[in-house]
Amino acid sequence: MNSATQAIIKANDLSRHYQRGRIKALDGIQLDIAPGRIVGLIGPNGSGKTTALKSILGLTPYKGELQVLGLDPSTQRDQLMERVCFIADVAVLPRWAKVSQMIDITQGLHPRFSREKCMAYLAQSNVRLDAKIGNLSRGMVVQLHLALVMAIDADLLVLDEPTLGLDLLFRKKFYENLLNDYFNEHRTILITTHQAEEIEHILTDLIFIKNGQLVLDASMEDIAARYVELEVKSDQLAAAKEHHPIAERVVMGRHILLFQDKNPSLLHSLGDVRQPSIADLFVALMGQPNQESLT
Amino acid sequence: MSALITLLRKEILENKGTCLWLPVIVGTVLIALVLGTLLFSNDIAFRLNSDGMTGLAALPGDMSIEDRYQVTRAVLSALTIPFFIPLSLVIIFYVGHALFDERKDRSILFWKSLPVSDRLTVISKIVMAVVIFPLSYWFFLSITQLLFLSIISVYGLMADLPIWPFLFRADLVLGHAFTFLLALMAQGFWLLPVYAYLLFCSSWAPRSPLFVAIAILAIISMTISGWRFLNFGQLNGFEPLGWAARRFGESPLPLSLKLGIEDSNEVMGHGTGILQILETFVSPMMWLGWLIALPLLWGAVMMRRRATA
Repeated sequence: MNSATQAIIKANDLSRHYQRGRIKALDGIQLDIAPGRIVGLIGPNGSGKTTALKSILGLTPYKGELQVLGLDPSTQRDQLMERVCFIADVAVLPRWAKVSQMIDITQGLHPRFSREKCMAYLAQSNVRLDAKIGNLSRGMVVQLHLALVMAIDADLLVLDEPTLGLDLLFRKKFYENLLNDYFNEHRTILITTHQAEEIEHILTDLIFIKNGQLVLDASMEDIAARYVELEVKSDQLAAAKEHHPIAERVVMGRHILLFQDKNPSLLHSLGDVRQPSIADLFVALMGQPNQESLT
Repeated sequence: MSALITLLRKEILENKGTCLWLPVIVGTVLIALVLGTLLFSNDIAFRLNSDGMTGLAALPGDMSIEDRYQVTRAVLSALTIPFFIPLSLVIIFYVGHALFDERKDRSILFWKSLPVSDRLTVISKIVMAVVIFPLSYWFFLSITQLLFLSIISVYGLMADLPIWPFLFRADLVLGHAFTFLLALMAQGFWLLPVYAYLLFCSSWAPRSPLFVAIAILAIISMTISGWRFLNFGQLNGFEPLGWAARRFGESPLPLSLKLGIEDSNEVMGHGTGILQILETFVSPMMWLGWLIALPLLWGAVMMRRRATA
């Protein structure tokens, strides 16, 4: 990953063990995330992605070296939160508050919060200012939460399943806003989601995590250069397999093979060559037992 | 400082029912009772001194200045009790749940996404318990007292009783209000170790934090008492549950109430009350309480730092 400029997040041998080391939520991971990137952190349930985010946000103790915006999250969390914003879980706004009160409180507590931006984001939703949060639907609470967070001028935005509970229209709108209004070359966004296909088009970098270890950590350009998918002609399957695919799946009777570090020109005669989607790459890489790090 | 003010504002909004509406309701009920009593019985009975009950209509026009003080103080002091009892309960429940509720509804994750330290959050909770809640109840009590005095003054005028000139003596009304406010503040600082302990339990208890807090004290107390009984054959002595209960019993506020209501010989009761209340601030027991409170508050900060939901 690009580390020519100072890393926004830099982790070395980051670990978090439970039950005297029997459970390794994070098992010595390395991270080096540069400014101006949108990084997708993707992994199955229990893979360690939430623990990684919590470590980055200073919400859980850890072992190893970790620097976020040049600060130690475990000891300098208060300073860190002035420059970092996160959604660790959606729909966790206090139910007793009114929408307008939440805006007032956030404005009073965060020096980089913009009321105007928040109101502009809320204007795109159907959340009323005088509504009580306890009376809002889950989707509306998520919309409010996202509006509050995106109105903060943060250097690092961490989003853990940010669109959970949102309908398709708002999800699309949210990612549009994130890319067009929020993101710029100085900001870094770290995002986790199970709906990988929705963020595929906005990501600059992709990290796969499994059993507390990184399985993939690369830019989207690197991934495009490294992985290729071949939908094999029915009579070319044996020939295609001679190129040692790293994964195979069958869709409606057609075999689709995934290749790593293979020149696409060698495969063109065997079928349709294309870029694998994040979801297909995820299934292929994460499904492999004892996958060694491909970083 | 502005962050602390915003946090206090947030706490007031979150506890609007118990911090603002409950004292308004108590005051409204009291005033309604006064009006109802005057409408239906044409008089208000109250304890003037140890001789027994008397009524407004029975007050002589040529009362001595001491008796006039007694009437005013009796009226003002009697009104404090309906405010003080719910206030005490409200604060206990508040500190018992202050750091638990945000974990229960997971809103702690949102609050932690803002640049507010755990230390400042805990400070805001304890300031609410020691200062803001008492201040709110005192404010609405003072309004209720003024309304009460106004009503019986009007009643006096209509009944041709010369009672308003001494009811509205500024030194009495303001003196009583100031004494009660000071007593409330002293009460808050005196009970700081109790509040800190409850706040500490609310920062980590998985459920029912008040029950957990009392259960821990009860178990420790029973263990100490049992050990003392088995080894020395006696039950009396220090144990934490009894100490906490005595802390309530020896607190400054019942003292000032007593001065106001029963000490008929003490004409300048407010002055004496103020001195006695101020003495509590310099008493060794007050400082001992703070010494106990500080590590508990530090513990609450540490536990909140680790809490994510």
